[in-house]
Amino acid sequence: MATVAKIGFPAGAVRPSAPRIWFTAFALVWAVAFAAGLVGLAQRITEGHRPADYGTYVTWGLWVAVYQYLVVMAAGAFLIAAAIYLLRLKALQRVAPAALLLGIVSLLAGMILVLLDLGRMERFWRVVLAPDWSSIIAWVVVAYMTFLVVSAAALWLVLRPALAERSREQGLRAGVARALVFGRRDVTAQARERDLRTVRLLMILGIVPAIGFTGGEGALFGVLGARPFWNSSMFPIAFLAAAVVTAGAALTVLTAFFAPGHSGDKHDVVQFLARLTLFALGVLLVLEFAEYSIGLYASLPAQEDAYGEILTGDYWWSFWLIHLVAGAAVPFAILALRGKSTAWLGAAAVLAAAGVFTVRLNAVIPGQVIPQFESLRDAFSDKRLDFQYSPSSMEWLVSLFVVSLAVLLFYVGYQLLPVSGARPGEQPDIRPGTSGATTLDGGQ
Amino acid sequence: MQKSSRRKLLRGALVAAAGGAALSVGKVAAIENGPGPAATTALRTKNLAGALRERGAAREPFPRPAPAVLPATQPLAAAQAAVGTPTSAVARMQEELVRAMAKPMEQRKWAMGIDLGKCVGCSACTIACIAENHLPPGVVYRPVLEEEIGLYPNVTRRFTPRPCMQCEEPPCVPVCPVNATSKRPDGVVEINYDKCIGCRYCVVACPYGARYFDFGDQYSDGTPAKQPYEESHGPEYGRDWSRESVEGVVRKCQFCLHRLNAGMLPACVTTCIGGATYFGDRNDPDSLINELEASGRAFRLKEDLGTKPKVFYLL
Ligand code: SF4
Ligand code: SF4
Repeated sequence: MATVAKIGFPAGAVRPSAPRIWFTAFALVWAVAFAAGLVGLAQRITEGHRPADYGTYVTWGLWVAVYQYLVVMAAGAFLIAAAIYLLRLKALQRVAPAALLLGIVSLLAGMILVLLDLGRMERFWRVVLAPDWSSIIAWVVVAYMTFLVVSAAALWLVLRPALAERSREQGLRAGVARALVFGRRDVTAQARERDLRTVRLLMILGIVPAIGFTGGEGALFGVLGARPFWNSSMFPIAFLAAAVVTAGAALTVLTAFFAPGHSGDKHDVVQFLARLTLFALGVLLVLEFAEYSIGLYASLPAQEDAYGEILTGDYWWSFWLIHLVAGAAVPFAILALRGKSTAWLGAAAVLAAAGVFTVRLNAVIPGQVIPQFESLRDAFSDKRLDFQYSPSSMEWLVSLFVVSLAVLLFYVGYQLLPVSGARPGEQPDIRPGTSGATTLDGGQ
Repeated sequence: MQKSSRRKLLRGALVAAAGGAALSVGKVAAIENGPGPAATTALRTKNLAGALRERGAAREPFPRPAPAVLPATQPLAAAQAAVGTPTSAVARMQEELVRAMAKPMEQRKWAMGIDLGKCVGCSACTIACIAENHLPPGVVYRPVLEEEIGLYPNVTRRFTPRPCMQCEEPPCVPVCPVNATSKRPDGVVEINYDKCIGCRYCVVACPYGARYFDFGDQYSDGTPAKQPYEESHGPEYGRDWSRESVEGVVRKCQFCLHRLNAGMLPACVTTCIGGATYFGDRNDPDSLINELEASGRAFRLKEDLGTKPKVFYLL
């Protein structure tokens, strides 16, 4: 009970549950997306890479962009959780377990997608068991593993008191709790304080791999001297800003539309998350401006052409309309004009997250559409030797599959674990001693 | 060119034209080939070696002897006597190849020179490479870049064959997360098709666009049946690669290592109708490739990147 009260849901003043209509609409969209995604997955498994539109010249396509979006979001979610525990942001403690779960699920989904992007999936183990440490990818994979272990341990410690209490109940969720509590049922204040100290330590430990692989994702591009557009130290930093935007947006949407409680009750949390998201978006825009203006003023054609491709090429609208107008200007306007409405803030977060998706695409694709030699364009005619790229239906469907799988995993985790204190679409249970209200609350 | 080196060159060419190159094909094949590749590959390489020797003898002499002005009525034998015994760059390179293969691998350094003044842009090398290495659609180790230079009426076309540069400092190597690509002691950058996971990081890291992802495409895609040639095995690295075994990995030119091991020049060198492609051991001070590289006409692509390509061009 104490937890709920502290984060802005006054006990006794609990309003009707989160609007069921959001949940139903979302579930319908999800079901269609997942079914379509399965078709794409079947095509990928049976036909390999052949139905893809990427080739040899534009060899990293949509999947790499979506994969990076997901893993960067994972890092952002962890960093937000770390900030909550280390800076003792009590108002946000309720979202911390969800942030940790989001981090784990999002990273797993990203890894699944990049696995599907490999030419030889069955050899993926080589990166883990026989890596070459001169490659950034090898380090990034180590960071993924460490991140998963640290996040899982932290999530377990955070949920342990609630799991211990729930394990005494009946039903599926109690069974899951019994399986996961590993016999540690001590929920005394001292035990929780001890857990909290460990969680803080894990947060400090986890920051290293989280920042490491986010920066590493940027550095994958940044270190490529052969590609003037990518060869920039701005990439790793911009990826960090994008991490906070995407994770902040996801948590805003989750809290605004799906977390239990009336929108009025959770408004403070949503507003804080939305502000954080848009602050990070502002930082991202400043970094982008620095990068684009310097790149364009440098007057190096190989670099200039890539920026030209983004600003005026075939997909100009993705930069100007989706990223800058819908993904930045509109969310800032919403914050300024409709900042008191939880639903509007949720909508602003959706737009900001969509805008950052085009940032990811505009990092991956334009770096490859400028030929190493202009005459390479026409040197040999083949669909794989083409500097034009537009994702095939299989690429879209497989991406959809992975994203909807991530949503499913998150939902299952959210349902089975006491992450939120109550299931989405339900009224939060704030009676003392019930599992829902007893997530780790900072030892308060 | 210095007189002494010209003499050496002529001497070498004469030896080669007399058939010296033919002597060691079998011997060299035994040096490094080992018992590995399929008998068919060995048979084929031997036949090719024979064809190569015949072609070498009929080739344009190198260096070109002073043109002889012959009376129209002079019989052919007299004409030949007037120009001297035909010498051949190919035959000389063949001879040098044998010499290089007799050394331990770390003592030779392969290099390739392409004379842009001689390349006629026929793409015979491109196709020979595709045939030699059994390359599927979309994998082309040696495309020929074409450019139009100048303004009418002063216009010309420049043809630039672009194999893998076998960089001395290859940016494609350190990025590989599984150590599937490496630089051999003889300077050739190889890919281990058994290890490659197909992440394509090396593809984006190559400044020359010289790496290709094998999507598993077939020439017969969209037709009722697969053709027998699509089932045949590729000979790269002296191994026997089924079509499936190289699907989903990254591939590139490796200077026809399997042919070198059999004492044969790379397919692009022997096929070049313009005689524009040279190949040899840079560590051999008497080699033709060394002479050409020191000719003052040599340049490399994107030299400023510091990748130190072992493929150079002659202007
Ligand atoms: S040309 Fe490209 S593939 Fe070949 S060695 Fe250099 S960097 Fe590697
Ligand atoms: S595609 Fe293969 S060779 Fe290239 S970096 Fe990946 S694993 Fe290494």
